[in-house]
Amino acid sequence: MKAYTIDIAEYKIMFQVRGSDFALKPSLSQLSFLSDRPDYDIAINVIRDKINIPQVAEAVFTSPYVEEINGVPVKRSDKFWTVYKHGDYILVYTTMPLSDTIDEAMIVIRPGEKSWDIIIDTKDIFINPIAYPLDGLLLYYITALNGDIFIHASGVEYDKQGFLFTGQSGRGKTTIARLFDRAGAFVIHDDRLIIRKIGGRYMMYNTPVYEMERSNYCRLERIYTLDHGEENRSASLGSLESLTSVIKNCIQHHWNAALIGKLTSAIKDMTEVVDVRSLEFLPDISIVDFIRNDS
Amino acid sequence: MELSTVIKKNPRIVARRSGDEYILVPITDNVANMEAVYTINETAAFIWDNIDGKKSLGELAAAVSGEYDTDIATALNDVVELIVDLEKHNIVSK
Repeated sequence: MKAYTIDIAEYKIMFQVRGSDFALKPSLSQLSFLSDRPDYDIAINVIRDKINIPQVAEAVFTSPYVEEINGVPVKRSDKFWTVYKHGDYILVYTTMPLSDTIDEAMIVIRPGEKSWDIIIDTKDIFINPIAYPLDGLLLYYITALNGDIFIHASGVEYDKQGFLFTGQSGRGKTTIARLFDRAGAFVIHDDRLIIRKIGGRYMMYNTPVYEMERSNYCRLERIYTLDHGEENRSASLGSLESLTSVIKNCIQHHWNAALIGKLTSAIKDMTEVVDVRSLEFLPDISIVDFIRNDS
Repeated sequence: MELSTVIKKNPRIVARRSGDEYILVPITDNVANMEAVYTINETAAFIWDNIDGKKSLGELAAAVSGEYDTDIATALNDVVELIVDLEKHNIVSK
């Protein structure tokens, strides 16, 4: 196809071909996020070409390539993707370690504008415009520039309440999502979520990660910061502790004051109205009733 | 620390005011280090606002004493306690 739109966390993102010798092919993980609405919030021009980073662009941050193996981060290389400042634009150059056919790619971000580019260096004639890691990088900049929150967390809806569980790797985000799944809860996602304030309410959304994943969302009513424990135990956090315990789990590589300010303000605003608690838990089904009755 | 010691802010700190408080975010290797976010309350925020790379500890204490109508010894104690902690977190330097 020459163009398509996906709706992720109520961001309507349209991808359109710029060129005549290739077409777009969304991945299986994007299928349930496809939208047939004609309007969009941002248009992404997909260009098949060699990557050319302007000499005057200033590199501000380079991310290493880190794989998580059995919950343990393992660094595979020092250079994965690099963020450049180029005037008012942000360029995100990336290698594509999981692709056999795409050598490298770059997102051209024009803050405040509705038209961005993704340039992909490939011989493919059918291109997934947001192959890993372009998907996460694109969503990261959309949420960051919009003042929304992208966070390492699992989220569930159970008994008509939305619970978010956040914490560092290995603290039990996936485990607790599985336990709620066994209890019949609606699992929004088990690893990463976007949080947006829509119509005065905080909502949590999944993003395309797994094949054939459905687009999920629910209202966010309580946040737990996770740790394993010898019993199920929770404690309310004060306002500043809520902020610091949530913000450290946000997906971010902010380098400038404006982006940092947007994120801190967003977390501060959210933690003033959404209850934040620390949670130590036993990895068994008893945690479900504990959470339901935790008030 | 001497009363005449001048205190400077670390330029690699992004300070965000939130009501009467400040959220201080250090930049490490060009990226916000959210693991090391530091928050300060109203009185500390007043001291933070007065740290300009020129005022000494004594002048900061005098400013606190004037603003909150406390004796200078108590104000100095509050200022030193905060500065020692901020210095420990590499947020200010002498």
